[in-house]
Amino acid sequence: MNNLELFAKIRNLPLVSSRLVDGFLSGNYRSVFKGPGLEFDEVREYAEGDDARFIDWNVTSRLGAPYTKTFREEREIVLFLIVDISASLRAGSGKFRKQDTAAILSSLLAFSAVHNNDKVGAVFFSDRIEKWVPPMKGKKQVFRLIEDGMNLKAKGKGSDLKKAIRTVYESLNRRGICIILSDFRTPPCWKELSMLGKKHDLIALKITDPSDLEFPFSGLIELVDPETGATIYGVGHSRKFRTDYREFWETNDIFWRRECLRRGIPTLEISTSDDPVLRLLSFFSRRKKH
Amino acid sequence: MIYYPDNLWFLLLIIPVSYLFFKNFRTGKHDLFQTEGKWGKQQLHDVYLLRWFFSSLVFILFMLLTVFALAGFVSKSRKITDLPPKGDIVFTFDISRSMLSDDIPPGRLKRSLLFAKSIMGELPAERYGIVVFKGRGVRIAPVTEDSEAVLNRIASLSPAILTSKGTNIEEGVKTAAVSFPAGDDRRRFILLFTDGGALSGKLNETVKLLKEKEIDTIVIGAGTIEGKELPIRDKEGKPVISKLDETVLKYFAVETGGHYFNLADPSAFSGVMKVLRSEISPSRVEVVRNDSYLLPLSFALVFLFLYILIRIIPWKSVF
Amino acid sequence: MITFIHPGLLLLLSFVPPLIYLRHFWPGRGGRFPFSFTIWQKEIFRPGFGLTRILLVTGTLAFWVGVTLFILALSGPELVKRKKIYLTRGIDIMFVLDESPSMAARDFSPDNRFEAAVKVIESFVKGRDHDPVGLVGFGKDAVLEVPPTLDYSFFLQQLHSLKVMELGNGTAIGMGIAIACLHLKNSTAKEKIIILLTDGENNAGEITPETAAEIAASLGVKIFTIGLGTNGEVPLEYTDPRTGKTFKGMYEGVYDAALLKKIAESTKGNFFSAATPGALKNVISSIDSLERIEMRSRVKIETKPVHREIILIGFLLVLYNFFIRKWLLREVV
Repeated sequence: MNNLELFAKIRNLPLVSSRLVDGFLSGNYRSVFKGPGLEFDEVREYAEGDDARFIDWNVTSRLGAPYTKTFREEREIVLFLIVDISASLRAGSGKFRKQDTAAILSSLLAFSAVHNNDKVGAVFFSDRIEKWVPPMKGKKQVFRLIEDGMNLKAKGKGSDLKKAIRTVYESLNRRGICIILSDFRTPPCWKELSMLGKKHDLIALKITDPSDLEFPFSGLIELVDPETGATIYGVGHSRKFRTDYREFWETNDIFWRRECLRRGIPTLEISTSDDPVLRLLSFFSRRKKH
Repeated sequence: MIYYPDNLWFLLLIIPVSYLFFKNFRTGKHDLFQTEGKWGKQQLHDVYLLRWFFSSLVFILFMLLTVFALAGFVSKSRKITDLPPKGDIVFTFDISRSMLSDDIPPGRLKRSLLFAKSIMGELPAERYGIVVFKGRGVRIAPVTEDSEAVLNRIASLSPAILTSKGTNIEEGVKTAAVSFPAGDDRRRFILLFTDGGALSGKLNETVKLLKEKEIDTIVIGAGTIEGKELPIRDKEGKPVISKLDETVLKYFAVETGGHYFNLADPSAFSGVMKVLRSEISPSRVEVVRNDSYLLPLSFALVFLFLYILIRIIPWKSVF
Repeated sequence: MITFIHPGLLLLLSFVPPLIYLRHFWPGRGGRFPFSFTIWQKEIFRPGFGLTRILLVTGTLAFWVGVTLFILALSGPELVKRKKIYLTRGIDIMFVLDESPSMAARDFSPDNRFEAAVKVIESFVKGRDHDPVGLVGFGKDAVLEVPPTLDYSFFLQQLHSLKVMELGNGTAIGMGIAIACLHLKNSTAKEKIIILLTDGENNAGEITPETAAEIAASLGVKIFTIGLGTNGEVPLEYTDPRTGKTFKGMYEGVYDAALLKKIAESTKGNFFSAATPGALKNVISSIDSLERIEMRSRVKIETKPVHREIILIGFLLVLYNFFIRKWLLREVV
């Protein structure tokens, strides 16, 4: 799919994202992130449909009827996207590349935030910070962000998530929501993730592809890694090779999930073959139920 | 004109090669679009098709021209008449007892000796030597100009002069092969007179020796295929029948690149003389062939280099 | 040895290392499909070292060896054989050696006369290049042991098989010379010589030494005569090859110096007397240096083109790589 088609797809996203906000998140997508950015406002009588978690039991016992806390927006909240645009994302066996999927997802998230009148910012990184978009409000801002994300040609070859996280950690002082969109083929940076996770609400969104587990070639082909320039021979018809390949990435995935879980960082894996909207919706609705 | 037309069979290899090219092209196309998805299709398709097409074409041209070079198209040949070379001829007689059989008059060995003498009579200026063999070979006359001495030795030949057992043709020929003196530009011949015997089955060593010393072999089979009783008796007193084993001798002649004649055949003598004269007669003409492998081979090499280059050069920064 | 018709084309070989570098090591080389298989700065997916890898490595090696062979074949390799060819016909040399029992006299310590004679003949022959040598032995009778031949190994083999007393008790000098002459008669050599080694007087044979010398002279054969031994009694020991009996005793006898001198002079040869092993050696080496003619020779160079074999091997190696990659491993690019 070329950029034109992708833009067409993204142009429809505002509608989708408003549905995302209105339909499922009851007008407050932020509430899926428990606590952050919410400021206690007052208590009122409990009405059906309210979240039982927010019942103020002290008031309820005193007044004899269920009262629930209401919150008001704390000034405004920042959604910050940390987007990997390293070369390893320029692949994908389906309609979209990982890079396209990342672009769609970030647009989706950005539109949702804009719809909620929040600030959106982003950092695009490879082995360096390729582009920094400071948090801003407004539709224009979102379109700019998306356009940048789409048109940005990464100068660096690797993917240094550590550097990106450190930059975000140091630059964003107010508590916000951070979403990392990456394939996580990055050097380990668990310490940085923990740090960021403590300061902000953090979601690790991993973009995957069927070819991550299933070696896509059936013959012999010399492969070059777009990031490191390393070369191997892919031997598609060798069963051992395919098993080795699958095991390598499976081990890596399991490790990644376990380490994120340990640090309380919610993970989401979206494949290029998935419908990004559906995956995102189901993820948030699942989180809301908790 | 083509000198090694057998090599043209290699052209058949182009069929499986082309088949593999086509088959792998289809696999490759499927694979690439599987991975690269639909987002980069056109450019990828172009590059892959071009790369595949040129690489296959160049490889097949390389094969074609290499086979041409191997087949050896000849542009011209010229004849040179050399000074008539002289010859060294070593008579190699089987003197096993079966050679005493008189199935061809006046006896296998005697007839062989007469045959040898006639050759010496026809070609008096050449040098001769004699090797006899049973289980092993012995020089009894070195290669010499002194035909008197050689004739004397021929006259005194009998199975009695060697005590070893068996008949080993290879041993006889090997002994004969090392008795040619060096330092001469003479044609070398071994005239082997025998009625058959054992071969080791591994003639390589003998063939190599003959080739290295540039010796021509002429095998002359003595006796008849039907055979006849020998004037001797075996341990049990039964008569011993000896037959001429032509298959072994013909096989030996073919393996050593020589000629075979049957002693009883009236045309044998003229046949042998013809072989000898073709090498040592004054009217010998040598044809020097000039095969022009250089042109097809250089193009083959160019295509081979192109094949490598097509693989090396990255196309449109796709791959 | 291998030579090349167009050695300049060998310079093409210098393209091979850069090509190998470009094809297998250059970071910017093409033909590689971009596909992410590494975790940046952490881990690279490396397939195990299996049969596939071995096949690939052998195939690649075969391919480059094949390329090299193609360049070699293009340079026109030829197998060159150098053969020394004598243009001059050498001298025919016949040794006529006394085998009578008196030759067993042990005054040529540590050997007896016969063994000493054999030794000097051997060293003489080994010092010759392209002169046919022959051998006649005589006792009571004379026999041609070796006709003039260039097959020195046969000559030496026969020489060492000679034994004293083999030809009976007697000294038929005339017969020895006559037989030698008979076998030099048809020789095409420009120069023919006879070297006679004896220690006794002619006492047997139907032909007298004088007659034999005349024959020699008429054939243009020079005779060098060497008289062996000294005056006085010398111990003698030999085994009769016919009966196997060993004889021991003292012997007193002397060669007929006058006769030998006469033979030599009538054929324009020389007479030498040798009483000690050292003297015998000197005599032989002086004959050796007297009887030398300038040998002209040339080196014949025979060339055999071998490009066809080399092309064939190179072709098969390139095809080996092709079939490994395209057929066994199904290479797609």
